[in-house]
Amino acid sequence: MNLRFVATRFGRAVLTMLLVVGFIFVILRVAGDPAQVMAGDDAPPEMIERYRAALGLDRSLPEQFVRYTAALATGDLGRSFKDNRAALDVVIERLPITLYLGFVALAISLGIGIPLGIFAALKRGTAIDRFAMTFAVLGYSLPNFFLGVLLILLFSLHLRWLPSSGSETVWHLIMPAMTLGTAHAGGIARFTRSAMLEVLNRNFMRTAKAKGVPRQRRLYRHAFPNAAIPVVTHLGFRLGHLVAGAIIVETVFAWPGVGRLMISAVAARDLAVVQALVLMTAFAMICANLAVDLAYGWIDPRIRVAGERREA
Amino acid sequence: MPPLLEVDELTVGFATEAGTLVAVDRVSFALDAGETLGLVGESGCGKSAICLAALGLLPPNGRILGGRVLLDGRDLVAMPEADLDKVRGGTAAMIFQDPLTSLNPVHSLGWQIGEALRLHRGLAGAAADAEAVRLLDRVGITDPKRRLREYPHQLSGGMNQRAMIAMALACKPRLLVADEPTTALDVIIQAQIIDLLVEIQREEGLALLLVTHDLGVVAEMADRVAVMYAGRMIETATSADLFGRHRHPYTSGLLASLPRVDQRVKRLAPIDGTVPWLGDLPSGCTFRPRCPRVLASCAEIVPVLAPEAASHRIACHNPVPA
Repeated sequence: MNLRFVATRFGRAVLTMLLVVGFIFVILRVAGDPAQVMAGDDAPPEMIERYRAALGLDRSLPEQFVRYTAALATGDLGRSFKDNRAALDVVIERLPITLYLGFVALAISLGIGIPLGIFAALKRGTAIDRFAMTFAVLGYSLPNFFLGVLLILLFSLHLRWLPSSGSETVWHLIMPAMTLGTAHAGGIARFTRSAMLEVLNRNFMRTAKAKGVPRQRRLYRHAFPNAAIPVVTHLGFRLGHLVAGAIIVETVFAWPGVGRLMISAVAARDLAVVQALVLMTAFAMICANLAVDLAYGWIDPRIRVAGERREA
Repeated sequence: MPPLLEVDELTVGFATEAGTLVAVDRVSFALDAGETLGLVGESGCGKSAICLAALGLLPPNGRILGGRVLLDGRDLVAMPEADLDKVRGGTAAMIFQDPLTSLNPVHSLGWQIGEALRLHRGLAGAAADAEAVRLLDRVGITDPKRRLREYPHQLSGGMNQRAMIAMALACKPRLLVADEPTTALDVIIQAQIIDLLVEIQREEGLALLLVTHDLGVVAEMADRVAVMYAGRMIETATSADLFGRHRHPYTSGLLASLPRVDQRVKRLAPIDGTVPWLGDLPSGCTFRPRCPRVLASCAEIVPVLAPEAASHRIACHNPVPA
């Protein structure tokens, strides 16, 4: 992979992040007076003024923007209104537990989704295919809160096998990870299936057969690397979402992650924490997209070597 | 000595929404080592289906309904898939119409050629690379060492077809099936690829089954020619006989419709009518509705491919006088 390719993608990512920062800055000032929001509706005017001065809202807009960006660059995202701790710290302490759940769920969804998609593609039009796709549709259309509650009813209340809330042990992880994992497995299975079907009919698959490549190898070395390209795109978005946390699943299973923090911060109008969450989510999405772009280059030589000269 | 390839009463059908269409109807021919047989006809006449069926490469809706394909005396139709994988790319190799889409876009040329070498000849690593370089050089690709690491999208159509030929030659096949190998290429590149195929066929003593709708290519390359119409073989002869003393009215029509550089022709002479749909073939001779020499009996009796001379056979009740 050449340096120019990586540098271009990286530059684009930085530019996107700057746009996001600018956007948040504008939104925060358009959506209402932050000082008013923080002080509450019935605060006396002099208290609001104190807040304005403390937040630097009495300065000119360009000056505010420069100070805002400079503060962001040093990792200062303001202080939580609730306990006066740095907003970034409040968010970051929740991150590991959310990522723990997210990556286990992602592993489950890949482990189920990719084989299921490949299998359905190979058995296209048969009962197996229809069964697999019914499962997939069920997986992503069944609301998380519904499946979550069903699991709690069965495994916690009825069978009494698994704890229904919290995150202390591995046993606590099973139900939220399964709920989140099966939901995404459906989407991944469908993406994999359609990508495989598209690839299986391509001419180079016939060439591989004409060359005497055995069936298994044709599937895994010839078809799958081509089919992986759209699946990786899909995966990139999933990766970005991981950081934002699974708001519903975390709430249902009382999982103390970023998703629940988001709910409580919004409810408490804790502006600095909400802002930190939004920035971090945007940052994660941009990083995920960058990772996808770089992964593309690795999988697909047509992207990696684009721009190099084409021989006549 | 028996021929290298013997196709015997091969019948191929395709499952469609309108039922099973017979694309190849009891076609027989033989091909000796070192010989080139040109299989010609319009699009949809079944010439490609014969090749794909012979090597077990039909798409999922295609099926061999009858007949045998003997390669070296072994019937490929009855052969288990695992044994076929040893024959394909080994004794029998195939090249296709569109070289760019026929090569895998995510693997380098070296990887794709190396795979064939590993599967059939057990070569790997430096030995495989050296052999791949030799093969690329053999098919006239310049700077083969560098090309080894390049991908199909970096090369032109002609280069890719040369790479396909190199890949086909990788395991020293005795039969090469070429399905419209020049159709997707520019005219100048076509000529180069034809020259290359002719040269390789002579030097390696390959049996070449060449499918094309281009009679010019056939004239240049083939020892013998078989003409197909609507799934049936209607005339087969040596190249010289076919171009000089063709007997079937369809073959005459086909040749008359060719532009010529040595004569001033105001208008090309097309064959009247259109190719019949395979789901609704006329009774008797399928060329009957378009034939200028049609007789009453043509509607009733299917003409069989009967010997006219030692190596000249036609399927016609009222052939063009010799």
